[in-house]
Amino acid sequence: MSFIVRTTLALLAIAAAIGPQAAGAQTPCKAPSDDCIPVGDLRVSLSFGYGTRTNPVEGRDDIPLFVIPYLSYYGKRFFLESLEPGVTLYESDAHTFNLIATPGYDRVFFSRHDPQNIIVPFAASTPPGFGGEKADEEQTFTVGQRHTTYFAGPEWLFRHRQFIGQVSALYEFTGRHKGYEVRAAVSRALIQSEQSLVINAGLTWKSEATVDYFYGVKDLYHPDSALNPFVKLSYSLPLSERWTLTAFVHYEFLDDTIVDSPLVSGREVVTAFAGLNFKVL
Amino acid sequence: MCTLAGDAATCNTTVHAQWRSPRNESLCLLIVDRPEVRQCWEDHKEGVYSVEVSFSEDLVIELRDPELDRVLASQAIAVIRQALQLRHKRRPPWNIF
Repeated sequence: MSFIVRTTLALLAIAAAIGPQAAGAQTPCKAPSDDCIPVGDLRVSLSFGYGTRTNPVEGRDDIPLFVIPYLSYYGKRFFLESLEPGVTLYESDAHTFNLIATPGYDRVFFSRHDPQNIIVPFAASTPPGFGGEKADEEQTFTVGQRHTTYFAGPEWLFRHRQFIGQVSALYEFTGRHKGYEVRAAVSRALIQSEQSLVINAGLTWKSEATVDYFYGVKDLYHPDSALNPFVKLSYSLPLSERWTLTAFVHYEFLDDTIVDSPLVSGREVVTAFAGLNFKVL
Repeated sequence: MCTLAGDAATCNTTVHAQWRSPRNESLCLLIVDRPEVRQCWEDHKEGVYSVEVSFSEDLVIELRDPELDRVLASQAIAVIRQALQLRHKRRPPWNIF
Protein backbone atom coordinates (compact mmCIF):
# COMPACT_ATOMS: atom_id res chain seq x y z
CA MET A 1 0.00 0.00 0.00
CA SER A 2 1.44 3.34 -0.97
CA PHE A 3 2.53 6.02 1.49
CA ILE A 4 -0.33 8.28 0.38
CA VAL A 5 -2.97 5.63 1.07
CA ARG A 6 -1.46 4.70 4.45
CA THR A 7 -1.29 8.35 5.47
CA THR A 8 -4.84 9.05 4.36
CA LEU A 9 -6.18 6.05 6.23
CA ALA A 10 -4.23 7.09 9.32
CA LEU A 11 -5.70 10.61 9.19
CA LEU A 12 -9.19 9.24 8.82
CA ALA A 13 -8.67 6.89 11.77
CA ILE A 14 -7.37 9.76 13.91
CA ALA A 15 -10.33 11.94 12.98
CA ALA A 16 -12.70 9.12 13.88
CA ALA A 17 -11.03 8.71 17.26
CA ILE A 18 -11.00 12.43 18.03
CA GLY A 19 -14.62 13.01 17.19
CA PRO A 20 -16.60 10.13 18.64
CA GLN A 21 -19.92 11.86 18.23
CA ALA A 22 -22.56 9.54 16.93
CA ALA A 23 -24.29 10.55 13.75
CA GLY A 24 -27.88 11.64 14.15
CA ALA A 25 -30.75 10.03 12.34
CA GLN A 26 -31.41 11.15 8.81
CA THR A 27 -33.82 14.07 8.87
CA PRO A 28 -35.98 15.65 6.20
CA CYS A 29 -34.63 18.68 4.38
CA LYS A 30 -35.78 21.66 6.43
CA ALA A 31 -32.80 23.98 6.04
CA PRO A 32 -29.92 24.34 3.58
CA SER A 33 -26.96 22.12 4.41
CA ASP A 34 -24.38 20.00 2.66
CA ASP A 35 -27.06 17.36 2.09
CA CYS A 36 -30.02 19.67 1.42
CA ILE A 37 -29.67 21.94 -1.55
CA PRO A 38 -31.95 24.90 -2.36
CA VAL A 39 -33.59 24.58 -5.74
CA GLY A 40 -31.79 26.79 -8.22
CA ASP A 41 -28.54 26.70 -6.28
CA LEU A 42 -25.36 26.48 -8.34
CA ARG A 43 -22.33 25.24 -6.45
CA VAL A 44 -18.79 25.33 -7.77
CA SER A 45 -15.75 24.34 -5.79
CA LEU A 46 -12.12 23.40 -6.31
CA SER A 47 -10.10 21.00 -4.23
CA PHE A 48 -6.35 21.48 -4.01
CA GLY A 49 -4.18 18.78 -2.60
CA TYR A 50 -2.46 15.57 -3.43
CA GLY A 51 -3.76 12.16 -4.26
CA THR A 52 -3.56 9.29 -6.66
CA ARG A 53 -5.67 6.73 -8.44
CA THR A 54 -3.78 3.51 -9.07
CA ASN A 55 -3.93 2.13 -12.56
CA PRO A 56 -4.41 -1.62 -12.91
CA VAL A 57 -3.67 -1.58 -16.62
CA GLU A 58 -0.35 -3.01 -17.63
CA GLY A 59 2.27 -0.42 -18.50
CA ARG A 60 0.16 2.59 -17.52
CA ASP A 61 1.05 5.13 -14.84
CA ASP A 62 -1.01 5.78 -11.80
CA ILE A 63 -3.17 8.89 -12.13
CA PRO A 64 -2.11 11.74 -9.85
CA LEU A 65 -4.78 14.07 -8.45
CA PHE A 66 -3.82 17.69 -7.75
CA VAL A 67 -6.78 19.93 -8.54
CA ILE A 68 -10.31 18.52 -8.48
CA PRO A 69 -13.16 20.71 -9.78
CA TYR A 70 -16.72 20.13 -8.67
CA LEU A 71 -19.97 21.55 -9.97
CA SER A 72 -23.56 20.90 -9.00
CA TYR A 73 -26.87 22.39 -9.92
CA TYR A 74 -30.28 21.31 -8.71
CA GLY A 75 -33.38 22.64 -10.41
CA LYS A 76 -36.91 21.59 -9.61
CA ARG A 77 -36.46 18.41 -11.66
CA PHE A 78 -33.22 18.70 -13.58
CA PHE A 79 -29.85 18.35 -11.83
CA LEU A 80 -26.22 18.20 -12.75
CA GLU A 81 -23.44 16.72 -10.63
CA SER A 82 -20.16 17.34 -12.43
CA LEU A 83 -20.38 14.96 -15.41
CA GLU A 84 -23.73 13.42 -14.41
CA PRO A 85 -26.93 15.08 -15.60
CA GLY A 86 -30.31 13.78 -14.54
CA VAL A 87 -34.00 14.31 -14.05
CA THR A 88 -35.89 13.63 -10.85
CA LEU A 89 -39.13 11.78 -11.36
CA TYR A 90 -40.14 11.58 -7.70
CA GLU A 91 -38.66 12.79 -4.42
CA SER A 92 -39.76 12.39 -0.84
CA ASP A 93 -37.91 12.40 2.48
CA ALA A 94 -37.30 8.66 2.15
CA HIS A 95 -37.08 7.97 -1.57
CA THR A 96 -35.88 9.58 -4.75
CA PHE A 97 -36.25 8.23 -8.27
CA ASN A 98 -34.07 9.74 -10.97
CA LEU A 99 -33.10 9.16 -14.56
CA ILE A 100 -29.39 9.77 -14.86
CA ALA A 101 -26.60 9.75 -17.39
CA THR A 102 -23.11 8.94 -16.21
CA PRO A 103 -19.75 8.26 -17.84
CA GLY A 104 -18.23 4.81 -17.87
CA TYR A 105 -15.36 4.82 -15.42
CA ASP A 106 -13.03 2.32 -16.98
CA ARG A 107 -11.74 4.60 -19.71
CA VAL A 108 -9.84 6.66 -17.16
CA PHE A 109 -7.27 3.88 -17.03
CA PHE A 110 -6.69 3.97 -20.77
CA SER A 111 -6.67 7.69 -21.55
CA ARG A 112 -5.16 10.49 -19.50
CA HIS A 113 -7.40 12.87 -21.45
CA ASP A 114 -10.63 11.32 -20.26
CA PRO A 115 -12.81 14.06 -18.70
CA GLN A 116 -12.93 12.13 -15.46
CA ASN A 117 -9.17 12.45 -15.03
CA ILE A 118 -8.59 15.59 -13.19
CA ILE A 119 -6.42 18.53 -14.09
CA VAL A 120 -2.86 17.39 -13.58
CA PRO A 121 -0.59 20.23 -14.56
CA PHE A 122 2.63 18.79 -13.24
CA ALA A 123 2.19 15.07 -13.73
CA ALA A 124 4.62 12.96 -15.70
CA SER A 125 3.47 12.17 -19.21
CA THR A 126 2.21 8.70 -20.04
CA PRO A 127 3.54 6.73 -22.94
CA PRO A 128 1.38 7.04 -26.07
CA GLY A 129 -0.40 4.07 -27.53
CA PHE A 130 -0.73 0.90 -25.58
CA GLY A 131 1.71 -1.55 -24.12
CA GLY A 132 0.19 -4.92 -24.86
CA GLU A 133 3.03 -7.09 -23.76
CA LYS A 134 3.53 -9.05 -20.59
CA ALA A 135 7.11 -9.88 -19.98
CA ASP A 136 6.50 -13.43 -18.87
CA GLU A 137 4.39 -14.33 -21.96
CA GLU A 138 6.29 -12.38 -24.63
CA GLN A 139 3.15 -12.04 -26.69
CA THR A 140 2.37 -8.95 -28.72
CA PHE A 141 -1.13 -7.99 -29.78
CA THR A 142 -2.93 -4.96 -31.09
CA VAL A 143 -5.39 -3.25 -28.81
CA GLY A 144 -7.98 -0.86 -30.14
CA GLN A 145 -8.76 2.59 -28.78
CA ARG A 146 -11.11 2.95 -25.83
CA HIS A 147 -13.60 5.73 -26.44
CA THR A 148 -15.56 7.70 -23.89
CA THR A 149 -18.77 5.89 -23.06
CA TYR A 150 -21.91 7.14 -21.38
CA PHE A 151 -24.51 5.14 -19.56
CA ALA A 152 -28.08 6.10 -18.79
CA GLY A 153 -30.84 4.60 -16.75
CA PRO A 154 -32.97 4.76 -13.62
CA GLU A 155 -31.59 5.46 -10.18
CA TRP A 156 -33.24 4.85 -6.81
CA LEU A 157 -32.03 6.52 -3.63
CA PHE A 158 -33.48 5.68 -0.23
CA ARG A 159 -32.82 7.17 3.17
CA HIS A 160 -33.42 5.35 6.45
CA ARG A 161 -32.05 6.61 9.73
CA GLN A 162 -28.30 7.04 9.29
CA PHE A 163 -28.20 5.05 6.05
CA ILE A 164 -28.46 6.22 2.49
CA GLY A 165 -28.67 3.62 -0.25
CA GLN A 166 -28.65 3.91 -3.99
CA VAL A 167 -29.09 1.55 -6.90
CA SER A 168 -28.84 2.36 -10.58
CA ALA A 169 -29.34 0.18 -13.65
CA LEU A 170 -27.51 1.60 -16.62
CA TYR A 171 -27.23 0.98 -20.33
CA GLU A 172 -24.41 2.26 -22.54
CA PHE A 173 -26.22 4.45 -25.04
CA THR A 174 -23.24 5.93 -26.88
CA GLY A 175 -23.08 2.75 -28.92
CA ARG A 176 -19.49 1.75 -28.16
CA HIS A 177 -20.36 -1.60 -26.64
CA LYS A 178 -24.06 -1.37 -25.62
CA GLY A 179 -23.27 -3.06 -22.36
CA TYR A 180 -24.85 -2.70 -18.94
CA GLU A 181 -23.81 -1.69 -15.48
CA VAL A 182 -25.56 -1.97 -12.15
CA ARG A 183 -24.22 0.23 -9.37
CA ALA A 184 -25.30 -0.21 -5.78
CA ALA A 185 -24.00 1.33 -2.57
CA VAL A 186 -24.91 2.10 1.01
CA SER A 187 -23.45 4.95 3.02
CA ARG A 188 -23.50 5.75 6.70
CA ALA A 189 -22.24 8.79 8.52
CA LEU A 190 -19.96 7.63 11.31
CA ILE A 191 -19.42 11.20 12.49
CA GLN A 192 -21.82 14.01 11.65
CA SER A 193 -21.00 17.07 13.69
CA GLU A 194 -18.66 19.91 12.87
CA GLN A 195 -16.63 17.29 11.04
CA SER A 196 -17.99 14.54 8.89
CA LEU A 197 -16.79 10.97 8.39
CA VAL A 198 -18.81 8.83 6.01
CA ILE A 199 -18.30 5.22 5.04
CA ASN A 200 -19.57 3.80 1.77
CA ALA A 201 -19.71 0.19 0.67
CA GLY A 202 -21.05 -1.13 -2.57
CA LEU A 203 -20.43 -2.85 -5.82
CA THR A 204 -20.51 -2.39 -9.56
CA TRP A 205 -21.67 -5.16 -11.84
CA LYS A 206 -20.50 -4.83 -15.42
CA SER A 207 -21.97 -6.91 -18.20
CA GLU A 208 -19.82 -9.08 -20.44
CA ALA A 209 -20.04 -6.50 -23.25
CA THR A 210 -18.83 -3.71 -20.95
CA VAL A 211 -15.93 -5.70 -19.60
CA ASP A 212 -14.96 -7.04 -23.02
CA TYR A 213 -14.82 -3.53 -24.52
CA PHE A 214 -12.21 -2.37 -22.04
CA TYR A 215 -10.36 -5.48 -20.97
CA GLY A 216 -10.90 -7.96 -23.76
CA VAL A 217 -8.37 -8.74 -26.48
CA LYS A 218 -9.67 -9.84 -29.87
CA ASP A 219 -9.05 -13.52 -30.60
CA LEU A 220 -7.11 -13.83 -27.35
CA TYR A 221 -9.18 -13.00 -24.29
CA HIS A 222 -12.94 -12.67 -23.84
CA PRO A 223 -13.92 -11.85 -20.27
CA ASP A 224 -17.21 -12.58 -18.57
CA SER A 225 -19.32 -10.14 -16.65
CA ALA A 226 -17.61 -8.68 -13.59
CA LEU A 227 -18.61 -7.84 -10.05
CA ASN A 228 -16.36 -5.25 -8.36
CA PRO A 229 -17.03 -4.48 -4.70
CA PHE A 230 -15.65 -1.35 -3.08
CA VAL A 231 -15.37 0.49 0.19
CA LYS A 232 -14.82 4.22 0.67
CA LEU A 233 -14.11 6.51 3.61
CA SER A 234 -14.63 10.25 3.26
CA TYR A 235 -13.74 12.95 5.76
CA SER A 236 -14.41 16.69 5.82
CA LEU A 237 -13.91 19.48 8.33
CA PRO A 238 -15.07 23.05 7.48
CA LEU A 239 -12.35 25.55 8.34
CA SER A 240 -14.25 28.66 7.32
CA GLU A 241 -17.21 29.67 5.21
CA ARG A 242 -15.33 28.79 2.03
CA TRP A 243 -12.50 26.44 3.02
CA THR A 244 -12.95 22.80 4.03
CA LEU A 245 -10.35 20.20 4.88
CA THR A 246 -11.17 17.09 2.91
CA ALA A 247 -9.79 13.59 2.47
CA PHE A 248 -10.96 10.25 1.15
CA VAL A 249 -9.76 6.78 0.28
CA HIS A 250 -11.60 4.46 -2.10
CA TYR A 251 -10.68 0.80 -2.44
CA GLU A 252 -12.19 -1.19 -5.31
CA PHE A 253 -11.58 -4.91 -5.75
CA LEU A 254 -11.45 -6.11 -9.34
CA ASP A 255 -13.28 -9.23 -10.42
CA ASP A 256 -11.07 -12.12 -11.54
CA THR A 257 -12.38 -11.80 -15.08
CA ILE A 258 -10.76 -8.35 -15.24
CA VAL A 259 -7.63 -9.36 -13.36
CA ASP A 260 -7.09 -12.29 -15.73
CA SER A 261 -7.05 -9.97 -18.75
CA PRO A 262 -3.61 -9.71 -20.37
CA LEU A 263 -4.13 -5.93 -20.27
CA VAL A 264 -4.33 -5.88 -16.49
CA SER A 265 -1.57 -6.30 -13.95
CA GLY A 266 -3.35 -5.11 -10.80
CA ARG A 267 -6.01 -6.66 -8.61
CA GLU A 268 -7.51 -3.49 -7.20
CA VAL A 269 -7.90 0.23 -7.78
CA VAL A 270 -7.09 2.53 -4.91
CA THR A 271 -7.98 6.21 -5.05
CA ALA A 272 -6.90 8.53 -2.26
CA PHE A 273 -6.79 12.28 -1.86
CA ALA A 274 -6.22 14.82 0.89
CA GLY A 275 -6.38 18.56 0.55
CA LEU A 276 -8.41 21.71 0.87
CA ASN A 277 -11.69 22.44 -0.83
CA PHE A 278 -12.48 26.04 -1.80
CA LYS A 279 -16.08 27.01 -2.36
CA VAL A 280 -16.21 29.31 -5.38
CA LEU A 281 -20.00 29.58 -5.56
CA MET B 1 -41.75 45.31 4.23
CA CYS B 2 -38.46 43.45 3.82
CA THR B 3 -38.32 40.21 1.84
CA LEU B 4 -35.58 37.73 2.71
CA ALA B 5 -34.62 35.60 -0.25
CA GLY B 6 -32.93 32.21 -0.20
CA ASP B 7 -31.03 31.58 2.99
CA ALA B 8 -30.50 35.28 3.85
CA ALA B 9 -30.69 35.79 7.61
CA THR B 10 -31.23 39.52 8.08
CA CYS B 11 -32.57 42.58 6.36
CA ASN B 12 -30.03 45.35 6.03
CA THR B 13 -31.63 48.62 5.01
CA THR B 14 -32.00 52.32 5.74
CA VAL B 15 -35.26 53.18 7.47
CA HIS B 16 -36.68 56.60 6.55
CA ALA B 17 -39.28 57.93 8.99
CA GLN B 18 -41.27 61.14 8.52
CA TRP B 19 -44.00 62.71 10.62
CA ARG B 20 -46.13 65.80 10.16
CA SER B 21 -48.62 67.66 12.42
CA PRO B 22 -50.86 70.71 11.92
CA ARG B 23 -49.55 72.14 15.19
CA ASN B 24 -46.24 72.22 16.98
CA GLU B 25 -45.45 69.00 18.73
CA SER B 26 -42.77 67.78 21.07
CA LEU B 27 -42.22 64.10 20.58
CA CYS B 28 -39.64 61.37 20.12
CA LEU B 29 -39.22 58.68 17.46
CA LEU B 30 -37.80 55.35 18.48
CA ILE B 31 -37.56 51.72 17.39
CA VAL B 32 -38.88 49.06 19.76
CA ASP B 33 -36.05 47.04 21.35
CA ARG B 34 -33.43 49.37 19.89
CA PRO B 35 -32.55 51.77 22.72
CA GLU B 36 -29.71 53.23 20.68
CA VAL B 37 -32.20 54.60 18.16
CA ARG B 38 -34.02 57.70 19.38
CA GLN B 39 -34.68 61.08 17.85
CA CYS B 40 -36.64 63.81 19.63
CA TRP B 41 -38.14 67.04 18.38
CA GLU B 42 -39.33 70.01 20.46
CA ASP B 43 -42.04 72.29 19.08
CA HIS B 44 -41.88 71.08 15.51
CA LYS B 45 -44.61 70.56 12.97
CA GLU B 46 -42.70 67.87 11.09
CA GLY B 47 -39.65 65.71 11.39
CA VAL B 48 -37.54 63.38 9.26
CA TYR B 49 -35.20 60.71 10.52
CA SER B 50 -33.07 58.07 8.71
CA VAL B 51 -31.16 55.25 10.29
CA GLU B 52 -29.42 52.11 9.01
CA VAL B 53 -30.64 48.98 10.73
CA SER B 54 -30.25 45.20 10.47
CA PHE B 55 -33.14 43.07 11.58
CA SER B 56 -34.48 39.56 11.17
CA GLU B 57 -37.87 40.07 12.84
CA ASP B 58 -40.58 42.68 12.30
CA LEU B 59 -39.36 46.17 13.15
CA VAL B 60 -41.76 48.48 15.04
CA ILE B 61 -41.23 52.25 14.87
CA GLU B 62 -43.07 54.45 17.39
CA LEU B 63 -43.73 58.12 17.99
CA ARG B 64 -43.97 58.80 21.73
CA ASP B 65 -44.33 61.80 24.01
CA PRO B 66 -41.08 63.29 25.33
CA GLU B 67 -41.40 61.25 28.55
CA LEU B 68 -41.79 58.11 26.40
CA ASP B 69 -44.91 57.21 28.36
CA ARG B 70 -47.51 57.28 25.61
CA VAL B 71 -47.41 55.87 22.11
CA LEU B 72 -48.75 58.50 19.76
CA ALA B 73 -48.35 56.48 16.55
CA SER B 74 -46.58 53.33 15.38
CA GLN B 75 -45.70 51.58 12.17
CA ALA B 76 -44.22 48.12 11.59
CA ILE B 77 -41.83 46.97 8.89
CA ALA B 78 -42.68 43.33 8.26
CA VAL B 79 -40.06 40.70 7.48
CA ILE B 80 -41.21 38.12 4.97
CA ARG B 81 -39.15 35.05 4.18
CA GLN B 82 -39.46 33.45 0.79
CA ALA B 83 -40.18 29.78 1.14
CA LEU B 84 -37.14 27.71 0.23
CA GLN B 85 -37.62 24.58 -1.77
CA LEU B 86 -34.96 22.09 -0.79
CA ARG B 87 -33.77 18.89 -2.40
CA HIS B 88 -31.66 16.02 -1.20
CA LYS B 89 -28.19 16.06 -2.64
CA ARG B 90 -26.87 13.00 -4.44
CA ARG B 91 -23.55 11.68 -3.26
CA PRO B 92 -22.62 8.83 -5.58
CA PRO B 93 -19.51 7.22 -4.02
CA TRP B 94 -18.14 6.35 -7.44
CA ASN B 95 -17.47 10.02 -7.97
CA ILE B 96 -14.47 11.73 -6.51
CA PHE B 97 -16.69 13.92 -4.33
